[in-house]
Amino acid sequence: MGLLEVAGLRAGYGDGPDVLSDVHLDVRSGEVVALLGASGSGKSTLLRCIAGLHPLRSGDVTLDGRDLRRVSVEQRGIGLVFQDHALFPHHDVTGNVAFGPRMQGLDRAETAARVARALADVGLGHLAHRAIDELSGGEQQRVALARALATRPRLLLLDEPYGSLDRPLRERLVDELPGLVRGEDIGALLVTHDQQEALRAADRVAVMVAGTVRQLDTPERLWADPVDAEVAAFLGVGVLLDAEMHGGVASGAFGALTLPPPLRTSSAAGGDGPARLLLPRRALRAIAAPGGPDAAGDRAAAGATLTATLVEVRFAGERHRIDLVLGDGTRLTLLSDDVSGLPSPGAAVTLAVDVDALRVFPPGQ
Amino acid sequence: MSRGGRTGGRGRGAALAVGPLVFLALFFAWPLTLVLSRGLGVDGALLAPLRDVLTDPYLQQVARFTLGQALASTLLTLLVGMPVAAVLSTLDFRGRRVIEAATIVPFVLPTVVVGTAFVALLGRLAPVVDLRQTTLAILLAHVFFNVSVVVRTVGGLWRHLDAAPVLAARTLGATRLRAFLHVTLPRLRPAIGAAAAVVFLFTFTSFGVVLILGGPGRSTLEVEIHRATSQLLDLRTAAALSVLQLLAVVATLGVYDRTRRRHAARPLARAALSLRPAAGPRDRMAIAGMLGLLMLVQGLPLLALLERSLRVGDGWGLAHFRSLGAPTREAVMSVAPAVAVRNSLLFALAATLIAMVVGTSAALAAVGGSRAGRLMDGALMLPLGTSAVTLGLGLLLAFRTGAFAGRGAILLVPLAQALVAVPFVVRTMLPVLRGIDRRLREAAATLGAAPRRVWREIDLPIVSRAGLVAAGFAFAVTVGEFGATIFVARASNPTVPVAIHRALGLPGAVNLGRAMALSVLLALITGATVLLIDRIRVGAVGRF
Amino acid sequence: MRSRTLAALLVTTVLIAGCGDDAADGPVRLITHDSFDVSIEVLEAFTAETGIEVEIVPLGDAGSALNRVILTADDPEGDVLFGVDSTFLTRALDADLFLPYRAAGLDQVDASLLPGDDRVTPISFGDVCVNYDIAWFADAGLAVPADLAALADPAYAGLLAVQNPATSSPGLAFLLGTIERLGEDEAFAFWERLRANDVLVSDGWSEAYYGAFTHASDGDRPLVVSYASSPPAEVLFAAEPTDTAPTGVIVDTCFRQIEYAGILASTPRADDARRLVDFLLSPAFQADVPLTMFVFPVRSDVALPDVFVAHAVLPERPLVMDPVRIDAGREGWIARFTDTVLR
Repeated sequence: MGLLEVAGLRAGYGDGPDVLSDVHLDVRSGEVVALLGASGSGKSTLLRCIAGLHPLRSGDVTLDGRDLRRVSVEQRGIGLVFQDHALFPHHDVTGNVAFGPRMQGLDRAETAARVARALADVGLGHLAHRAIDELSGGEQQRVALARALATRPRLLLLDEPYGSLDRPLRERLVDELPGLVRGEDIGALLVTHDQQEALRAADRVAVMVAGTVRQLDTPERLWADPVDAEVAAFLGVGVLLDAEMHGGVASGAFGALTLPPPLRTSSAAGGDGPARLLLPRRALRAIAAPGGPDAAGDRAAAGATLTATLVEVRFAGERHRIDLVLGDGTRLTLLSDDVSGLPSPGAAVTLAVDVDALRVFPPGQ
Repeated sequence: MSRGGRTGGRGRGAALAVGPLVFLALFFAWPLTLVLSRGLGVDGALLAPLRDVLTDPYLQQVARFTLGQALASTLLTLLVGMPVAAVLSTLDFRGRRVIEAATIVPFVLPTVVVGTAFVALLGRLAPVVDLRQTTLAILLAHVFFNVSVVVRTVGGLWRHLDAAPVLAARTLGATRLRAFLHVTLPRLRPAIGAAAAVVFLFTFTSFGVVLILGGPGRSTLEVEIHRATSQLLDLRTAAALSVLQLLAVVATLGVYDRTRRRHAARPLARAALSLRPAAGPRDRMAIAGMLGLLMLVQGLPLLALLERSLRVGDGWGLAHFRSLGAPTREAVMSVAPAVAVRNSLLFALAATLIAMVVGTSAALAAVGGSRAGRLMDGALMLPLGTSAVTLGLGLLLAFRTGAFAGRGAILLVPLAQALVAVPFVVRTMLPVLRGIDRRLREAAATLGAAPRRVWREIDLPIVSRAGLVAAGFAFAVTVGEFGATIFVARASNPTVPVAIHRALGLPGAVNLGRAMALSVLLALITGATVLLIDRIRVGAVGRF
Repeated sequence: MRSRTLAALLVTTVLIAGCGDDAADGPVRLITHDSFDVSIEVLEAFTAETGIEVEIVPLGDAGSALNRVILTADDPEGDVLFGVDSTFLTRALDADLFLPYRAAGLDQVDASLLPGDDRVTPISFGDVCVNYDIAWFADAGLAVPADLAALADPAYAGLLAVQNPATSSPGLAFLLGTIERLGEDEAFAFWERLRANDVLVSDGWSEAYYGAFTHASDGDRPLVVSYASSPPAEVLFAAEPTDTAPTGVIVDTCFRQIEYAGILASTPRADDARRLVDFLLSPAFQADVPLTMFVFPVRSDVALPDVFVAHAVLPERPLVMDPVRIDAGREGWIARFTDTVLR
């Protein structure tokens, strides 16, 4: 059973429309869940709802089985790390970290122990008496984290905590997060709009689109099996093509692909008619220039194929980027170790397609 | 988004507004109503006396001059104050804080003393440029007095502005000037509006400076009110003029409120982003230019004052300062200057305390930016622009019996002084309160602080330190306050301004020397206090 | 914070509501102008002798003090008013503020100083005269103006500083003096000439004396409207001890102001008030007057201090105006002055 359970949550501002609708989400103990979404998708509002800083219109939020709806923010036992940290300017580092334990009514010795531990956990023991405005951005972020951890929360909420930091520092801090959570046996919900950040830190990723959690899954499953076209598009799994389904064959200006049996039956657009076809990048391989009209046999040997026009090949560090245009004008970029045998720009290229990785979605999304 | 969240902020705001409103009603509205009704009640009509005043060609001329000189003074003060504020809030250099504290010193000096210093100065300048008895002399004195209002109000906001948009504008091809005009200036507008409103109110009701420096033909509404009240006992005219003055003040506040509403509740950057260490010849030139400007408008008159306090016979010395230890005569009213200093400090502290309680409550009540809060905020500004003569008379009429009669009248002094100081407290605290990052309160809540505790742990420490800054302003305003003091004080315990006034009431070099030495002492005490209080800061929001 | 504000309000309200009037048993209260003073030993001797404590209540300048008493006539802030001068005497008498009383010692007062009304008692007088800077005129090689009329002489252009009669007591006195001497129409013609002669008008005595007078300031006016007692004050308060006065008085310009005291009709303790007025006219207080307030005592049997004898001028025939005429003309004259000189 999950540590945090959110079910059917709805919320909005003033008399306005719902900003969050029918949100379902769970976080397990010892787990980091990343809440991934574009800006404006409602991630921060959801976090504020869970923390108790924003009222629900309906739905359930439980922590450890306890219904949080009637619990005021200060009694929820949830640590929140704010965007830009929200450190108290009138306290030094210790004062900030000791704030929570003081509110919990701990005595001096215990508070001091908590502060020391929390600062040690984030590696800031040596800055205990520094003023806040004398800290670097990364140090401030660590103080914010230590401050939230010092209350021994059951759940840690992090609202784009690394947004203002440079990339190497951000990556280091992101990498530290799972260790902190697992060590304390608590759960963490990390709001981010950065896929790399989500992938580095999270055990599972929740994708938010337009005010609801569309999919919550491990990164592997998420990439392999996005639940709809928008999730796929947001994740950048591959390209989405307009196709016409007819008897298990998806065709369009890009060409035609025969789908394997499981997809024909389980797909949402299993019937005939218009559909959106997801062409995942990892299902494609640029193999060579297509032969003449009699090369159909080669194509069959290579399995399903499409023909594309090569725009450019560039070395991108370790791998090459291959920019292509499909028959319907869709632009596509592949990464490849091996670009030998590719023709010069402007020429046609054959793409081998792993049809098992294709996904079909209803049209119009 | 609801500001108070679940903490019931609206209820608290309303409760907090009660105190300031009662204070204002009791010590401002009621006394003023008494005077006005007494004056206008003569023939039962409000409009007849007003019409008489408005159709009198002489009073028309006075009204025009009053308005004109106030507008010109405000404009000139802004013109001088803005570059000073610009340098002081963007460049950090050794001595910056001392200079900033020093700009407030003229604020506390009695008009007569400033007039004397100006006359001395203008006399020396006469061979070069003769400004004696010109409107320009009045304007310069007004700039001398009020430039600190602009420096502190505008500078306070300026240094909290994020520097990034200006840099962005520069990269987009804007010159320094255009970046200032199109990026910085619009963001400073609320502070400029506030400063301009305060300077306008001060200069609109200017009294002594106008006559001492202006010479024949230059009179203000305040002078006419004084004349009608004190000399002619013509309360009808006095009341009509006071109403006229009030209408102008209300109109000013209306304009001010409009500019402010458009820019209200803009959170401050959380660090003093625009302040950077001065470096390079360009910065040094800017600082030198700023110092030159301040020297011209504030330094020279202050030096003239200092020079007079040190002039003994044909030479110089500290004799006048040494004489401050004892009274000139063994007479009842000739209190030793040391006693006057003590009285001044006590009165100013009491007034500061009252102003802090009232002003803090008002600022907290107004922080939500509700209509009622804005109205109260505006109402609290009214005493600044009200005739001290009229108000003094009203206080007398209102409190001649009861606790404030007889010896109790001494209680009226800090109360009257507080009336003038409250707007400064509100002006100082409100931006800080509005600038407290909402997420600080939320962070405290998620860390286990209940609403009351959040208030105590977050709002109060931040506000109370900002409050100390406000207290410094209030102290400076009250320690030199003279108009209300002389009107309501009746016991034989003069403040420093009163002692200066008394010393200047008799001929003789010793009397003048004492007055000047006392003025220098008052200036030093004020400067030191403000400097001390300016050093108290809290993180990024402590200084405003 | 909220509770503290409410507490403060509560205290204030209680103070206002609950405090009784202690006028009947506190000290006798002497309302006066803010130039009033008395030597401590003189006042203490009075208290020791009579057992009457005196509280001094200064209420602004002479005009303000009287006006405040008139405005609060039913319940004034004191028992005795001192400081009504001849320019405001009629207003005070018309307001019927005072109880009739003939103070002990009136027989020692010169007849010219008696008001002809026993509701007020003369206490002191002072002459408002044009003062001149002796050194300035010596340096300039210019003769000191001989009389009032000479002030309008173009030779003295830009040299005179006066006070606005609308806001200053000596300013009003000097205006009255010109009217008394020249007659109303001729007086304002004279003021027109003074204006053409670049007369400087300040709003108060301090502003003129310490803001413009060459001897006392960095100003450029060697002639200033001040008092006949100003030269002795200059000697007494000189930076270094001196025997010669640096300023002089143009006797022809002197206008006499007499200051009166009266017992306020509303006083609950008329007896103590009478004894206070007696005290004001007593030799001890009268002898104290020159060096505390720089005016002259009305009693002729009191010796003047040496510095007054040596440096003060007592004009034999000062300009005096009947208080009734002053009261009738004052407002119109001030308006006319404003028209003529200030507009």
